[in-house]
Amino acid sequence: MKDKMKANGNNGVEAKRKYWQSLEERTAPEVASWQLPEFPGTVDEMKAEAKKSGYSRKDFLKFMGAGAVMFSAACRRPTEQIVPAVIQPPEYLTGIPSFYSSTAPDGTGLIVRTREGRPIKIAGNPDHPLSRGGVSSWNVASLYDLYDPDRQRKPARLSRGRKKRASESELVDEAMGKISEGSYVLLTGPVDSPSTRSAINAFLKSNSGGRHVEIRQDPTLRQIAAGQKVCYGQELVPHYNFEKAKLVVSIEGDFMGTMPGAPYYASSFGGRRDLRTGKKSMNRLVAFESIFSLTGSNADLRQPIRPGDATAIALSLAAHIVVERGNSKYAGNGEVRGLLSNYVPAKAASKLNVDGKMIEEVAEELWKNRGSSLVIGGSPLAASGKNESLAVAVNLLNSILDNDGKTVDYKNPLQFSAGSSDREVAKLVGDMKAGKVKTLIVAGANPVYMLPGSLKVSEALEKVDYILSLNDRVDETGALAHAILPSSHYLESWGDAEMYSGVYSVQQPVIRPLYQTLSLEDRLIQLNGGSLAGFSSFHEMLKDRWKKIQSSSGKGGSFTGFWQSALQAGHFAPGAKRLKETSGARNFNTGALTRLPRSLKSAGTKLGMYYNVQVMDGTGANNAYRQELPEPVTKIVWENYACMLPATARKLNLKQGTIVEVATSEGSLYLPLLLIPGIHPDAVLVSLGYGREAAGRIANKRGVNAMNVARVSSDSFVLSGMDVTEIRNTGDRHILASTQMVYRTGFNSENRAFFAPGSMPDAPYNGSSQYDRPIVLETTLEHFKKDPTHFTPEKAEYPRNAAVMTSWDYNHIRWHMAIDLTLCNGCGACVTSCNIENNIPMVGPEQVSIGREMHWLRIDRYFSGSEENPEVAHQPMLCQHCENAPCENVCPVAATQHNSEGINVMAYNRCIGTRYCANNCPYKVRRFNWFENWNYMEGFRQKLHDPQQLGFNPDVTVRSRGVIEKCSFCLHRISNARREMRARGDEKMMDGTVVTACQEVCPTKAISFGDINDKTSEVAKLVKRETRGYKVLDFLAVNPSVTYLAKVRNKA
Amino acid sequence: MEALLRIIKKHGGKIFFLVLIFGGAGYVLGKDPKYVGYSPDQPIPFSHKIHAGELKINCQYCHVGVERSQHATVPDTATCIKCHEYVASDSKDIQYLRQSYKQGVPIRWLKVHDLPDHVRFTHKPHIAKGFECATCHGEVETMDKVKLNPDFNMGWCVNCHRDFTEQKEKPGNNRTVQITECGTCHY
Repeated sequence: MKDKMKANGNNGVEAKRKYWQSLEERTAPEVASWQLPEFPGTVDEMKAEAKKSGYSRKDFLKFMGAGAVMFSAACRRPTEQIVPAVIQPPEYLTGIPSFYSSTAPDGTGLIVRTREGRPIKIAGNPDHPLSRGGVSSWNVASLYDLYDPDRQRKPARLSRGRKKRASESELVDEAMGKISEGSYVLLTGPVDSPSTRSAINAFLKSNSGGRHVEIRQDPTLRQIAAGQKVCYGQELVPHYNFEKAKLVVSIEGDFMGTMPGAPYYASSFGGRRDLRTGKKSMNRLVAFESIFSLTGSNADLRQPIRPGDATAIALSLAAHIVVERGNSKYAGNGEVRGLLSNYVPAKAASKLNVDGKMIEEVAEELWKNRGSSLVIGGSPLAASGKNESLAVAVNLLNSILDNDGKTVDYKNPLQFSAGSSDREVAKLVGDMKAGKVKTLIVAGANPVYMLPGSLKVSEALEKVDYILSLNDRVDETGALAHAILPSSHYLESWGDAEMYSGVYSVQQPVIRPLYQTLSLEDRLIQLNGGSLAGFSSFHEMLKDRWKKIQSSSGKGGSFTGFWQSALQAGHFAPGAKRLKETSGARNFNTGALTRLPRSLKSAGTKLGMYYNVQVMDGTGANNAYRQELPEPVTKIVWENYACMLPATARKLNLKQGTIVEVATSEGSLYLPLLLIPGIHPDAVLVSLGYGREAAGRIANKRGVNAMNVARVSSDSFVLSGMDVTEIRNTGDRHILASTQMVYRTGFNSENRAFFAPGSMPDAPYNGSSQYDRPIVLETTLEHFKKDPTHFTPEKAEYPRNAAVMTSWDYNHIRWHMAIDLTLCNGCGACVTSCNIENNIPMVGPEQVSIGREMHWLRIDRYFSGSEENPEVAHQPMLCQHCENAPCENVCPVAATQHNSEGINVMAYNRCIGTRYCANNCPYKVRRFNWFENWNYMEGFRQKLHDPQQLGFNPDVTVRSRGVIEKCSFCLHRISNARREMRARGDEKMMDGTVVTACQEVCPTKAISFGDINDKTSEVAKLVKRETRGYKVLDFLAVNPSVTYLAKVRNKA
Repeated sequence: MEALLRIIKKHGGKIFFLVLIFGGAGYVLGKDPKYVGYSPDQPIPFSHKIHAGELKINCQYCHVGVERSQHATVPDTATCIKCHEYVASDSKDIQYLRQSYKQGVPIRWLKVHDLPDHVRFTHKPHIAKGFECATCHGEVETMDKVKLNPDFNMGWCVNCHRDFTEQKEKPGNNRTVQITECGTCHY
């Protein structure tokens, strides 16, 4: 083995890449004993477990006896009912799904599958010109927002959060009276749809004396728009053309995860990474960021920075190009030079504690790729003072690099609303405090939760005479409201989106409102007396706008035809072509530079707030599918935490899970500590979107609302770069539920690695959880071009196992999946999609922390490199459907079997729960139902709440307690396709007929699925052609049906 | 006698429960399987004997989904009303039916042919293969009240599936392979 290492070194391949999944593996003492065992060990533990579940052995016997008595006494077969419609709509038939195209509020094109009139699955619309079939996990999970049991079901009068019966007409009349008195404020969430905006404008016009304020907690778009305004005189958010960018530098810009427009950005960025086409080139991504974001985890080069230092980093990049190299037309500009000379990389490196050399290299690279590079930035982490400062620095860089007009397409700006400025929002709160606001209508906004604690919004709201909530639940703001007229979910209402000018998407309802609710626009029409601008419903208003769209696009024919084709396609995009065009550079107004700090700021520990891809800003937090999606990098679920670098924690003598007090000038946050590698030593990072008080049974009291310590500056809300005055150990400890450390229930030592393969029983820990087994393989682009067949880490020679059973001939179909690790960005959309498609229950944090989460598909995150700045590889891991499956041989009741198409199937009703199969699975993908999970959904002792059962997929069995389950390759979809094929009389399954749930949402199209025996299928061609293909742990001779394509990083 | 009373006093509860348990078990085990012959009372005593037998209405006139869907589907009230607008309109049950139609309240029928929730059965491919309804549902046209005729358990399904798998050796019949695998019905 040693010789091999040397040989690798000579090849120019990295000698040894060591992967680790968690800090425990690196024998870091401060993070030890985190994971609790999944199986109760001793009898006492089992008793305790049983007690927790409320039953003891005696109870069991009692209940069993009583049960037998009742059984014999009341011997009746359970009856099921058939309830046909009174008048069956001709287009719909029980048992057959209908598919509707629609649009998510963030502009993503969706295909919604409904069964018996109920939406049961959200997938991407592959024909949508922007999202191209990609959906974010947030949107996939939004299905269960519709079935949220905590939604407000009918209008009610409220007093101190308590509901009183009141009729809708009574409340509407009352609200209309209050509105007619004037001095009312309509406070909404971000209004991204132009039709909604025109409805709001019409309402304001017809009811004088009011104004409209929009709360978008995410400051990203405001930062970018403000920066554009001072630099170029145009207040807009440009279209970032990732397809034209060879080099992307993200400075606090999480464009794959949480930035508005992320699904589109992720798919167009991924389009330039696809090596499956045979191309040997790909784009390169450099990230400067303080939190380890989804984007950063995919970066080819990444530099952790302190929260609030983003502007300085951007200026430092510019300084190297302009000042030190004297490049670009700005080199002669005294104003620019004067500012930038304070920011040269050497100075920045010492002040900001970053790698100055790396900044210089990136700057060189940017200059080399001028015109085809893209610098992007903006996030809550950049909200460290002046709203526009990072955007100004980024604009300067893009202008220096001649990217303006090329990759920064200002001709087609993003049409999303940036939201009212923080100053305007703060002024509204001031007005309310001063009693200037008589009536407040809250629609889709939640000021009490979303605004900084120091604004004291709840005090201000108490001064308002009448508060009407149009939200979907009695939330934190609703607790102070006087009445609620609940609003509908987006799947229940009409709407549209125009993300870029000329790219229109329709949002059509797929179900009639479940409750007595109306959409915001229809509610406004109702509050205007039943008619607004001549329309009696928003549907009419929407159609009128689309009539105008039809005539302005010059598309002939009848409107009905046009409208129906738009509804069918979900979009109408005459403007999509324009997104590929380039234009000339604008003139950068150097006067904007006066808004930047003249010199580098002092050091010190800083607090930063960020969004994570799970719950984003917390509006949809009451959804277990979001809460239990593992964070892409930390893999923590259900709550937030303070992130810190292990070295810093060591210095402060703090341990993993310690509850610390993070004190700032605005107050303190009490949070458990999470040690994560790859952040700046002076950074403490806390995610927003948690700590809801009145969101519902799922989100309440999960984590802490970091907004409570946000600072209100004269210009904007400060969410990042705040001085941490003290980090105090409270002495308490809290176990954060994580899905990543569950596979390791031992500890490494220098003498023994607990994950070493069985063939080397006493192998010492070599620093890698892979132990040189083929799990994640990767290479660099440079090396890949020279030698496309060798990857690191070089496989160790393990004795090849002999297969127990190899008699499968697969003479018909053999299903196979190929997953491209270069394209997979770890966003987790596939995980959520799989969960919802297969009725997988969420189990709650207590169960996750003992490794009992039920996800059939997980994304393993591997760190490699140093603790200070590691690299990340994401690997989706699902049942590998082995040919010689180790699980099949050990099942005593033959509940898991192989079928003739290569799928490892589970017969749930046969399973007796020995869990032998889970023990014998080398991939740890089998999951055991410890409880009647659906009854105990989210880990609470309560029954499944109405109406969550409506979201079930009727094609998949709902598993009960004591049963093992796992990925089935979407066997129900395969069966359905096979039946259709046979009914048609076809002999062959067409490639692409079966699309798995994970595949149908992937924003980067990393997953291919098909019949490998069909030589013309995509997956067969891919596996045959791709030199990157490998199978995980192939020396075990289990012969998996999943081929992974090795990760290629674009670096030398 | 006194001794017996004492025993009953002391252990009476336990004996009572034991008798109940064993007696109950005996009662349950001694009975015919519940599934065969199951014939619940429906909200409307709809007679297949009249409709399918005497009037010879085609099964698919009402069970429209059988060729296209996994469910054969029970007809909506509107289908019944098509004829019963005029036919037998003075009968009490038809009045009930018309009320359902008028008020828009669906009729709640009881499911007779009910498979457990972990089984997936689809009518479409079976009908496409040319099976008669009676193969599985029995002579419905002779029943006044629908009764579960065959065993309706897994052995009964698999027996038939086995017969058809054997044909895979015959030329031109290779499309019926795979039908005795677990994954055909359980997923």
